[in-house]
Amino acid sequence: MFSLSRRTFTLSFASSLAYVGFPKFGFANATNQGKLVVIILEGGLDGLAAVPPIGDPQLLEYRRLLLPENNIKIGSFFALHPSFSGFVKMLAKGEASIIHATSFPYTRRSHFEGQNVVESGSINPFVEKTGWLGRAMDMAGLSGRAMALGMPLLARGNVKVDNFFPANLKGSFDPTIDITRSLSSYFGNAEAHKTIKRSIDGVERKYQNAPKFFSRDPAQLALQAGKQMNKDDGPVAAIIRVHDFDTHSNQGADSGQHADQMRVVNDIFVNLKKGLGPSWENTVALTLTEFGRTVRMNGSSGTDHGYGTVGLLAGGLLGKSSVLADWPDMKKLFEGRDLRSTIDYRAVCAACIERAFLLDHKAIASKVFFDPNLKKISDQIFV
Amino acid sequence: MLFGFGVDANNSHDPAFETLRDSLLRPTERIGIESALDENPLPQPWPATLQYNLRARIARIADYEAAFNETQKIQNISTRKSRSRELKKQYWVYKADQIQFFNQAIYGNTPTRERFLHFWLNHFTVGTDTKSRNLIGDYIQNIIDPEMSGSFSDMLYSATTHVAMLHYLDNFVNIGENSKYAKKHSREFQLGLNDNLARELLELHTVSAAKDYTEDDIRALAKVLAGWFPYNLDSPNALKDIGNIRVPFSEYHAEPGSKIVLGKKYGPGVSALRAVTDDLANDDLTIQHLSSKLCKHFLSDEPSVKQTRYVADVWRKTDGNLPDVHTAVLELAYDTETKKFQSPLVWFLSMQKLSGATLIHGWRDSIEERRIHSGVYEPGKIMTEMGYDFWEKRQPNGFSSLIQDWVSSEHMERRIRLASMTYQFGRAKNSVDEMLEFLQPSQETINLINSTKDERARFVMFFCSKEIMGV
Repeated sequence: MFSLSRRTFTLSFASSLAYVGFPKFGFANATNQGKLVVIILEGGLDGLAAVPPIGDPQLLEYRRLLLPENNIKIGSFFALHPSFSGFVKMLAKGEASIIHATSFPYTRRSHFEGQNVVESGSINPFVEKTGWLGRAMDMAGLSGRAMALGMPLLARGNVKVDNFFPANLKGSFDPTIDITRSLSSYFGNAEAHKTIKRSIDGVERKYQNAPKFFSRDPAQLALQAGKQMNKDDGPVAAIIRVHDFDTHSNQGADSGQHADQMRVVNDIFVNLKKGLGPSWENTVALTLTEFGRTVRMNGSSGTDHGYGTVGLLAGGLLGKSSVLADWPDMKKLFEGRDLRSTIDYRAVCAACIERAFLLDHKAIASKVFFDPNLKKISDQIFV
Repeated sequence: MLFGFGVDANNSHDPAFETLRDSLLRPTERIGIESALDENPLPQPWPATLQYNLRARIARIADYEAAFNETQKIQNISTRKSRSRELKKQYWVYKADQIQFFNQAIYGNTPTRERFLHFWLNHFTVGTDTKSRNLIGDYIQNIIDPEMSGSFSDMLYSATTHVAMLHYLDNFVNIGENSKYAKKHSREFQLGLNDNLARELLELHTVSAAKDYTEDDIRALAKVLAGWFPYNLDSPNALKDIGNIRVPFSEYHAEPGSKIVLGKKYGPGVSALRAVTDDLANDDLTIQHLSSKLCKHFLSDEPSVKQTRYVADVWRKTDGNLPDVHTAVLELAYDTETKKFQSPLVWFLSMQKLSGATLIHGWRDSIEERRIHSGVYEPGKIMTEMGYDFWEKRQPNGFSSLIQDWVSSEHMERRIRLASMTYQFGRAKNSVDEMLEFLQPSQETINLINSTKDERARFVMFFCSKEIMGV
């Protein structure tokens, strides 16, 4: 029997976390400042597995073996994968939404190009050196400081941000101020050395107000992220990255590799809510993935890279629950293989920025996404 | 610039080009030290008992799984834990591989060659999971390193057909839909093509997306690749059915008939893959892609057209003979004034060499499980903290060569911290003054380092100087 044990996680970096927008020292964020969490799902989330359109007769024909048996019905047309036991409760409470048949307008199905597109916010890969979240925070004057081992592209803005990420090296001791101050003035202000100087300055301030413990487990990361964001001098945004959605083989249905990853996403939403406490009312979290997956199962019980997929949103800032989809005809698949995208996911990101950071949609469209024609759909998703 | 090419305290601060070129072209001898805690550890040949051939490495995977499952039956928690630890010591040969990898860079006599090894190991990235971690040592020592003495087309074929690569990019579930295996088993369970390796072979390893290949090309290439090591790593059939583990092709799982990839027809059988990879290696887009990547990695984040063309011309003239191509890159680096920021791993290894420190395990330190307070550290730990771990589960496009991806407060903090640790625990043989004498940096750097009498601070600042970091 051809059996495949699923890839086991290694101990480090099964997922990662970045906080951005800690206010400058001595300042706090405005108490009604909205908060944003972006959950990056690396590899390509299978939207048809996460939210199967059970009302579409084509679905069974294409992916009988990938369809979970114990779906959670959420209406006559859609169901939720059983992994989303916590998310479905948020949906019932008016604090979660689903956007289906959606994608960034990128169709070449390359991870590296796709990841660059969904983080940079430009439809041309490797052109922009900054990310849409970074540019939005610049525009809103929220750049501040960040916390991540490497600064994710999504969070890079034009205003340089310093960051921190506690080391895990026993026996080593913290850098001392005499060293960092000397190095900082040595690197001076020459253009070529600005980034390094800023980084060193950041090292010095690192240990003020920083969380001491930094887990590598995704649910724990989300819980901490929530707690940090709930503080007055905490960050306004967090980026949680989850890997292993690229299920080319043995994807599974009710259980299995993809189901496990979806449970991680569910747990992230649940723990975010838990950690945020009262700040949940003011927060919106959204998933972000480079593309969906092929409608038909492939030869190794998995799926290959596709196009249209699903986006999941949660948070009190939504004010209501909605299931937004302009469902495409599954008899006419994109290039004969993928779900079409009928909602530009950039508009969803734009809507979240608009409401969390109180920015004007037109400014977001032209300055963050470089597309003045980007539709405003915030009223469809937010109250 | 030159510092990053593995110059150490034994060479002069201004080595002749010939010195560096010798260090590039000389074949590797596997070197290591026994224990970092010895008074004056002598670099010696790496012990034969810690060298494992590919078959033995694969056999261990199944053996470990079986032994591990047995230990899980032990009721007593502390007995179970200690038995688990013993098993890991016995079976996790990757730890020995990691020590050899670091020792080679620090104590070996071909540091320039090691730098190019890092480049190719990153280009033909093989991310690992708990099973395949044990295979990377073989990939490094028996494929990437030796193939650097030959042609790119040889390296391409060897890297593509290594069990670790075939496992990593899911080729073990890439089965010919019309293969004999499929015909026998297709009623029992789903099987068929998987295009992961085909896609990355085109996009990342050779011609790149600039070639504008179609999904049909990818699918056809997947058909050529079908049948290459179609086994789970712990499957008992793997070693039974495959005669030569370096050519792990199973006719039984392969797709019959000819395939058309990028407009050219390839016949069935084991020789098709070599024909495809040779054609890809000779494609001018591959030459341009790789030349540009080499320049980006060694010379500058934005190499000039002239530089890339120089390397590409040598490539074309010598049919991708890597010693010639590498020498061309070295020539450009030797002559150029551009600064190239050192990647965290190269920086760390250079620091060990230059200061004569022994911070990293020797082969006996791992076996005897030295604790941190003894003042020696595992290579794996260092790589994880620097975010530059070749034994990590990671994406096929590998580590970035650009400064923007490696400069952040946290990365700077790590460098300061690791320099500090090297001073405190590393038993460095060379003092800061001796290293200053050797490096002969700018007056500005000298002033920085002499601004304090604290030797630890001077050591740290030396290694965070502009000259050492390459900025």
